[in-house]
Amino acid sequence: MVFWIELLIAGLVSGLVIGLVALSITLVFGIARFPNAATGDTMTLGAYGALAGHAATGSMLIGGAIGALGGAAVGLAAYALVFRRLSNRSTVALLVASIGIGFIIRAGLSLAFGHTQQVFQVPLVRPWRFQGVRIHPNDLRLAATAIASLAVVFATLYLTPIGRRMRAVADDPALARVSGISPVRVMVALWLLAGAVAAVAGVILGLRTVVSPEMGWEMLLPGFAAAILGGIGNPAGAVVAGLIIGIAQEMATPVVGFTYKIALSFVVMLVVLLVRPRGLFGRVEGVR
Amino acid sequence: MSLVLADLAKSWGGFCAVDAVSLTVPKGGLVGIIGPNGAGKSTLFSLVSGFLAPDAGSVTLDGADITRLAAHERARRGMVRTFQVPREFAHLTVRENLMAAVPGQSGETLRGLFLRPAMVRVEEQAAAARVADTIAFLRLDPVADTPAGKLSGGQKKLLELGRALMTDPALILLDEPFAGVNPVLVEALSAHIRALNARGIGFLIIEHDLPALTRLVGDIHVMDRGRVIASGPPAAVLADAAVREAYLGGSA
Repeated sequence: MVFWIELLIAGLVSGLVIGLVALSITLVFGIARFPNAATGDTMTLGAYGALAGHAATGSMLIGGAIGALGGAAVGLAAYALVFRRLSNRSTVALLVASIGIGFIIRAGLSLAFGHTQQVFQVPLVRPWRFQGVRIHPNDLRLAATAIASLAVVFATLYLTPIGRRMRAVADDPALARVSGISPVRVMVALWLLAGAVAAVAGVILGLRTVVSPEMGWEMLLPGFAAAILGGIGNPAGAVVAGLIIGIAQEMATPVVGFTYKIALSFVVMLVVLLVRPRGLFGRVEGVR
Repeated sequence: MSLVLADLAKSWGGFCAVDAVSLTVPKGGLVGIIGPNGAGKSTLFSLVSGFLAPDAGSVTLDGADITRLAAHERARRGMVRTFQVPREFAHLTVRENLMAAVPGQSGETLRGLFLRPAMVRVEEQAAAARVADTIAFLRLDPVADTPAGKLSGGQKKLLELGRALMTDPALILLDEPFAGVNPVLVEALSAHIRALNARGIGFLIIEHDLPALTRLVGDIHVMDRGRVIASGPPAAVLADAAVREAYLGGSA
């Protein structure tokens, strides 16, 4: 029993990471209308940014903030330099461009930081025990960071003028334009948020495991699986689906083994696409 | 705000959808456009509102040439359009639909949101008050917090008018505001339009419901096959032989 509870907790934390990635993917898909394959590498960039920031300042908080800002900056740069120019092109053109941007980010990081795995130099903390269940204080801190990031994004989306406009563009871009909503302002906000969210996911993943140039690329599949399961374009659905996939992956590990747990996201994605393409919480109207 | 269209033209391949159309909506005017299906009325609206670029001609708003301006910039200048088939931000509530269209908010950028939270809050309250007034004016109170996608067709028409009003328009382009609306609501909508016109807002209205339109507008332009074939007060225009030909000859 204790074993399964520990797996559940691990699943919740990795589910939050997947949820953040899926949120970034689903926001871009809902508003800019293409699957952004550079999401994973934006994550990686966030992790390296935090690694460098932490090494330079000794503060994990500052390191994390640098990682998040780095992700936001890369998101904005990708929009300004590439996606904005391709905004009238097909979804496939944008997808291919995003794969290219992902490669560029990954190559740049390999060049700057080397190809070997790195770890955050943080002191080891003894886990707490409740009724025999081990809980790592770091996991709690990371979960709190993830939840706080989610709260910021959702508050922005649902309680502010720019968030309202972002949701308006997701529903009907042409109507948004005739209503005087500036598409550029909405896109700038979107890319800053999507970049920062992906980077925060990278920082959390990097702190829990190791930092390597491929770490984000490998998270792309569970991220997309969760975005699709949650109903693509649906932010709350993406987070819930991320948690479901995270928990399912961890709980399945003793049964199918560590190597195959990633395959679970693939199975989830296929089943959803075949059986219920609208996802759990459906949102097809928002997407053309 | 006066709108002047001069020799506007748009072709698709060989087909001339809008052919050298010139017309004027005077400041505070109430002007109608009629014509058979395919006469180019909606294409004309798209040229005026910035959805399509014209092949030739110009659009002038209050003396300024806006022919090359983006759609959202034209809206900012006080000219706003609605759509033939009503459109709405389906997942936003009626209130949010209207709030999204309030211009000049500091909270429209993340920077403004984080650097000037106090100002954002004050502006939000002012916008919310204006939105509440508009909801009351259009009698949309019962559905104010319903997602707009769930509204009836008639309510969506009202919401379109409401969203147009939130942009502080001086001129509203209505594309078939009465289509698919029950007769009672047609009267209510006409009353709203008259009330807004009395406040100085100009209207350019495309409509098939001739009786309702002629009761409403001062001048009518008749379009057929991309051209304006007659212009003037409704009674005179409807007596015109060419108009009878275009309307009755086309369908009889």
